[in-house]
Amino acid sequence: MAYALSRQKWRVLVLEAGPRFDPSKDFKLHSDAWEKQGFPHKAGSEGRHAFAALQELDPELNDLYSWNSVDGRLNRTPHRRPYKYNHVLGLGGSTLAFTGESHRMHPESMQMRSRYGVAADWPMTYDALEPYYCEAERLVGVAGPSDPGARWRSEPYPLPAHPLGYASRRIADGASALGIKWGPNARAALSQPYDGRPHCNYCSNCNRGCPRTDKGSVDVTFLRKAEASGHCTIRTGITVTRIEAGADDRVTGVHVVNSAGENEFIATPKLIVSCGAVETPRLLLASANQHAPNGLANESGQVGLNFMETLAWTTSALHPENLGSFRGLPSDSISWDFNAPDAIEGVVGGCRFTTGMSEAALNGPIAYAQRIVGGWGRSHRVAMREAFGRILSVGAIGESLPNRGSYIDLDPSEVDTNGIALARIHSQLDDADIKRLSFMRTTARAILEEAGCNKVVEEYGSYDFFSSTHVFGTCRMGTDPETSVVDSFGKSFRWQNLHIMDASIFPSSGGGESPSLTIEALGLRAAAHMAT
Amino acid sequence: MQWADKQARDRNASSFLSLHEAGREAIVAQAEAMGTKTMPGMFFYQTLKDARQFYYEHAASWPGVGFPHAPQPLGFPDYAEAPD
Repeated sequence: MAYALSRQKWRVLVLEAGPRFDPSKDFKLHSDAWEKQGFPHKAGSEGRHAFAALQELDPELNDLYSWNSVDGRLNRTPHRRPYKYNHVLGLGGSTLAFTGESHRMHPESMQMRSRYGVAADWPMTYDALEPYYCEAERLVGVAGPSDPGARWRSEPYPLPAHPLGYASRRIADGASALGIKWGPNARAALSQPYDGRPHCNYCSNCNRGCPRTDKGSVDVTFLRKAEASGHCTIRTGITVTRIEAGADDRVTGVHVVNSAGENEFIATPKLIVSCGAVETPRLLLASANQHAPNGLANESGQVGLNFMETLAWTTSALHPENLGSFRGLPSDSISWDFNAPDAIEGVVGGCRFTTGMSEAALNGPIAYAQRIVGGWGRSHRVAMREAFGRILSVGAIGESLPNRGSYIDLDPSEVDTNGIALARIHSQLDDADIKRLSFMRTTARAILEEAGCNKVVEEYGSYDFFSSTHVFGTCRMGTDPETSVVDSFGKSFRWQNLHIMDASIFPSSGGGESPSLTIEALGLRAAAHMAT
Repeated sequence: MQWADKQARDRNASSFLSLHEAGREAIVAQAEAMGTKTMPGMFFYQTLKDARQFYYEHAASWPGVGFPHAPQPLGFPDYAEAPD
């Protein structure tokens, strides 16, 4: 929205809690320590959040436990354990560390209530969003396939799809043998030079930050253009602690702690909150006042509810051939065959499958040694030589639907350095989630077997660990102020100058679609509406 | 190390470090077999974890496993072809 509004000569001030990253200096994929450091967080780029106790595990569901060849079972407790909410504080947010899959929602996934009786319908159709998908794809420089599948397109992708990698073609062959269609993924990674940025050189490490800027993170696309407009000012290291609201159903500004540790009040005629589905409800709930005793924009009581997470599974296996599988574009290929809400037999909600070596971080020697090969001494070195570059991984992400046990509230005891209660994540998997996970596991294994793999070496999934990058739903949009927080343009039903624009407004998660492109399209649509 | 030296003395050596390679490996394997609930076993597994990381974070170790270079600045533009 900062891009779209500044382009229309609105004066925009972006307040970013984290730091600004300099891709060429901060993303050190050229150094020996590239693998050890993972995503190179800077001071202030990691937020804190709390977890409520997670559910008990069912020993009968032994197949869904996470494990690897070296350590065996990774969660040895009787409960599901929190691993991480993968969230980057920084200019560009979590897109700094995202893979960069650029997905449009499946049109039927936007009508889950009316078609399937679950979650809530989106208050607009795919057709209404389609022009803004195109605009977002042009701004990012998305490289995608010519076949649109279930998502009709009014124009082709701006760039041609990336050729599949050598290792990915083995997975495609395995899927094909099962009758599963497998093809190029739509990716926010440039297949050709575009808009002053170079093409991808297939280093396989989008998740550790892209030093070349060919990955279309928000900092090098939307915000770069917003700043260049001359109408957008960006301040980093600014933590908003509370939104101030008056008696006239308007917010007046935000209380912040600036990078010098000083308190400030910043007045604004219009406020757009874009902190993600964990931090946005936290800020709204922490901004309760006499005019909004249950939290700001919480007249429906829905703020924090309907939390949806990343329901994920990855199976990794060794292939007898050296594939050099540490190379290439992460998630370069995908199957949408099971993505429609009714595509998995016996359960509502779909999923998608992709190549997954990079997302599993199985693209460097340390990971192989620590998780796959094990052992020590000469036999270890021989085994490493035999295994390295031979792993194939199939990853899957499935639909996450709202349930009563999944929500965000304020932690009653833990606070941040400014004294603001941490967001507390409540997460519960229900039977449908477990059925989807089971399908994802079975299918991933079958694909790898058909691809020629002869030994499964690691599996990791959401059954016994909460580990989410994509989170949704805690300020859902809709048409009814009684059951939703904002309208289809992200505007609060009550607070006339308060808007929310992030995945917290998603009424449903989709069948594994990555959300960044949809957030961008929603923002462009809302900004266009706001400007008129 | 006191434990390791004692095992060496039981093998009629003056210390762990004075043993030949096969002798040292036998004592290390003994620690490994004791499992993580014993002090020698705990030391073994933590040291092994650290050693793997320290070893493979150095580029000098990469040719030994077939990893050609850090991901950047060269990338892997040959990614669609069979590896060398």
